[in-house]
Amino acid sequence: MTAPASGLWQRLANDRWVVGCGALLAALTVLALVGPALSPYSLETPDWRAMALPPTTQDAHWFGTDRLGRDLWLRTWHGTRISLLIGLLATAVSMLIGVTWGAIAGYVGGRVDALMMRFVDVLYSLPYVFFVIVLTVLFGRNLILIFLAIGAVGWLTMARIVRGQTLALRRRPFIEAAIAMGVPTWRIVARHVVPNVAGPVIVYATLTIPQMILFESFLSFLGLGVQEPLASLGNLIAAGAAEMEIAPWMLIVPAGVLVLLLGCCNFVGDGLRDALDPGSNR
Amino acid sequence: MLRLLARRLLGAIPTLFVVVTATFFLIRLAPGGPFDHDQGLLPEIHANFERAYGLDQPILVQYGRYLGGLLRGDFGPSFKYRDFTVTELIGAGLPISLGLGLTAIVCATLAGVLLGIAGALSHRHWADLGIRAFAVLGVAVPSFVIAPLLALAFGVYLGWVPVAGWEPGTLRDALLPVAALALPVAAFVARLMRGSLLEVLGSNFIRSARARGLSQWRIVVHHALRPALLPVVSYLGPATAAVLAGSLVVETIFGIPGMGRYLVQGAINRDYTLVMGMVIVFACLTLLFNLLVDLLYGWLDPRVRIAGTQR
Repeated sequence: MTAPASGLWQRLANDRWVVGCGALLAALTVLALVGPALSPYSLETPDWRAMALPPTTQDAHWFGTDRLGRDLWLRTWHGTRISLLIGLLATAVSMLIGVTWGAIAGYVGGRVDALMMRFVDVLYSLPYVFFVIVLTVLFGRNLILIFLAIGAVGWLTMARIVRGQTLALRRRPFIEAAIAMGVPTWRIVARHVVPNVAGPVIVYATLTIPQMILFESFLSFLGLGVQEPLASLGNLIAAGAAEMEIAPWMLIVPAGVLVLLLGCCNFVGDGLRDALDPGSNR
Repeated sequence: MLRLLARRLLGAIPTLFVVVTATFFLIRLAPGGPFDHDQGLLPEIHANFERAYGLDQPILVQYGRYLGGLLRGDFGPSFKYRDFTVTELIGAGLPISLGLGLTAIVCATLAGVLLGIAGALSHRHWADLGIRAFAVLGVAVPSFVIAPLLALAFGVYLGWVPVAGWEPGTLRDALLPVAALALPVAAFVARLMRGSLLEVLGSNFIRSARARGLSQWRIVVHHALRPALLPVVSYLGPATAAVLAGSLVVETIFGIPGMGRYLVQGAINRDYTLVMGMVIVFACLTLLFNLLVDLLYGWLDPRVRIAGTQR
């Protein structure tokens, strides 16, 4: 965990798979940001001359069009943008809750710790996916709620990891020194505990992003996440699955982008974990 | 062992109670009611409907009644499927969903463990690379992507199996749904198994077994397998949750009359009792599987067993 930063980058750069996936991830992000601007069409206006058109270089419909004549290049990259955004924001939410919860439980210890972690255990054993589904159906389907719902689900593992690390930190001399100097508890947690658990937290966060993207796509696939006319990879895949017999590209294009996105995120996360912790050679 | 079982079963009761209570009040908080979709209902008739289902009572009375019904095993009438009780709907759908889900989990675990062993034993060989690629791909390809792709490949292009449809007891109809549910889990299990077996094979007691001249086969089967299975077993809890969630999607795509479709449909229709019933069934399944996993874990790892009885 205490690897110097330069050594970390060196190890990451040596792993060809991680470098390749990182580059692919960067390319996908750039395409998600500028891709829509390259197309002469607009997100919602159909091209009446080209409905359910296969991918073609003519007419600049590079990924083809859907049944209503909307350009899939545009919609796919818009969807990727939303997926990335939700993945990042939901991860931030889950990190915020998880780190705070875990650090307090681990540092304060005793009965508070037992109570807080028991709460996490109970939530862990619940079928939260079903809760989130019920919630999103019942209380409208806005993006904010989706962020919160997804983020609220992801913090449990984070809390456990941070608590474990904090327990180990609590007996370290520099913490005892801080206690002896009369530093208030919240300040010790914020200034000494949290920065020292940053390594595992960052690793787990990079592995959380694809999970969150996956969960958002899952909700959108069910028709509960991002709503038409907005595009998300999930609802594009759902629309493509309905048309796959006559227009397979409508399924294959967004599915391919989602698979690339998730695969690269996972690879980079794994690589980062190995680089930070060379001992675990999974 | 029995005491552990009893304690865990008792421990599940408060969790279930929290689930029931939270869902009950959350649904009622949501805007809309079960009879809002009926066009042109006279206010009097609407009121009659509400009275017939006891919805005109104070919410605490409804809650009490619902709990009372639950204790007798009665989930109440469905508001949308008017001629059915929720118990009947669950009774019709649960066996199908459960059958598919269990088959998927068993297949996925077996395939994943075997692939993981093969990967670990052929470490750094091309077969190992292939298995690692499969494992990574499985993590990146969720059920709702695999399901339509499988249907496209094997149903539409190759025409080997029906694209969708369900006839009870036919293997052909179950093939694609089970594969779609099982593949992501199998991939993750393979990855876990490969990693943990490699770790175990590098440990001291394996080295001493090698020194005693035991064959590779005997070492793997008799010595390394059991400890290496532990991470796989603890993943089975989350795997169940993943398969249950996947079944929502897979049942829709393949047109399977399980109970997955009731959850989303029920919530959209504000079919209070149906949603409650679904959430309770899913919660029970999750809790039950977590319990089974813990028991299995104790059987595999004596340290856990001892810690469990001492407490």
